[in-house]
Amino acid sequence: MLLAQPPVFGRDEIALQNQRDALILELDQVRTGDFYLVIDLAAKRVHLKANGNILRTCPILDLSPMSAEHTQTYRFARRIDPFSVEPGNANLRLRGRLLPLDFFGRLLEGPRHRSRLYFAPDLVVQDSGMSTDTTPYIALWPEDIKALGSALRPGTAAILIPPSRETDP
Amino acid sequence: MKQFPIHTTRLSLLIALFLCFGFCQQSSARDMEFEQLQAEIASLRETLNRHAAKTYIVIDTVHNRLQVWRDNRVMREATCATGSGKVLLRPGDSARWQFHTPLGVRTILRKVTDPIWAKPLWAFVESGEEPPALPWAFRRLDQTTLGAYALELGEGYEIHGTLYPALLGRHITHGCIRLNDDDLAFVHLTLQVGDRVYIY
Repeated sequence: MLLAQPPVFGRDEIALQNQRDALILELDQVRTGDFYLVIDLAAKRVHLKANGNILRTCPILDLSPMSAEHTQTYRFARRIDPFSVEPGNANLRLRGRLLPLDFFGRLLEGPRHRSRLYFAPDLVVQDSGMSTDTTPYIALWPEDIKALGSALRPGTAAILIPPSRETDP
Repeated sequence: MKQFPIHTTRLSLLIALFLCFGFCQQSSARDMEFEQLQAEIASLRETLNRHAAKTYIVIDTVHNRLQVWRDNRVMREATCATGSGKVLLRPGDSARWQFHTPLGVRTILRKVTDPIWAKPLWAFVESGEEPPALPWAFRRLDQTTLGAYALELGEGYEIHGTLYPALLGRHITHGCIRLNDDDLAFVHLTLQVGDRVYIY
């Protein structure tokens, strides 16, 4: 009976599997030659990379609990700066208006005072000490957000490696 | 003291041995899976490293910083000046230039010592001078502005020296990347034609 059971994977094996999956996803990105992010929640680091080369490493200051259990690719959706112009809505109510991912957060808080980077599926990269709604977030230094914001274009890939159990917030 | 029959003791021993054997089997299967994963990761890393450049430049146009990387370590970090983003219009004309540093991946196409700058049209428009009629006119040639070296990145963009080192760290150029003399000499010596330059 014991022999028939599949091997039980522990924390180390899962971490290794996530690492392997991240490398496979990274190899796909390397072939495109574009910039991409590796968000390593286990190591609490965000790497900006291109062609497999590290261009910038940003420490993660804070993060909300993430539901992701496996390595997956996110896509950069948009960047909202304090000077970003909201799309006009005269006489249209909400018709034809593209809602940002963190629309309700913006509705409650009003205009943003710091830049934020929005990814899909729902993930916000923002400055530390900022309030959020239920959207999962990662907090970085403001200068890192500015630098990453300059490198990312809509559709840019971000490979997210989930945290190991012991580093869960 | 109660004595267990001899066949019961043997049976317990057999069960214990069987359990132990099963555990060892499971443990060795896990070890094999673990080793297989590690080997797979090592192979993937090797493939990734084949794509990666050994020596490259990273330019952060937001903070005007230039880094020279080798073997995944920063060899040198320098303050540079990058594009101002300003727009220049020629009066009475539709000619328009925007001076921003192009973002993305570029390659060093040529290394030049004692470069001579052939002033483009916008340089004359900006200084309010009448451009010379002939493209090879002597008045177009400037031997001092670019410094001791220039690394060409294509489309007229270069990494070169400056006459105004006090302005490094600012967004003031016409799209090129300016460095001070020491950093420029280091970059010129370290980087080779074909090396990549990442600009963000």
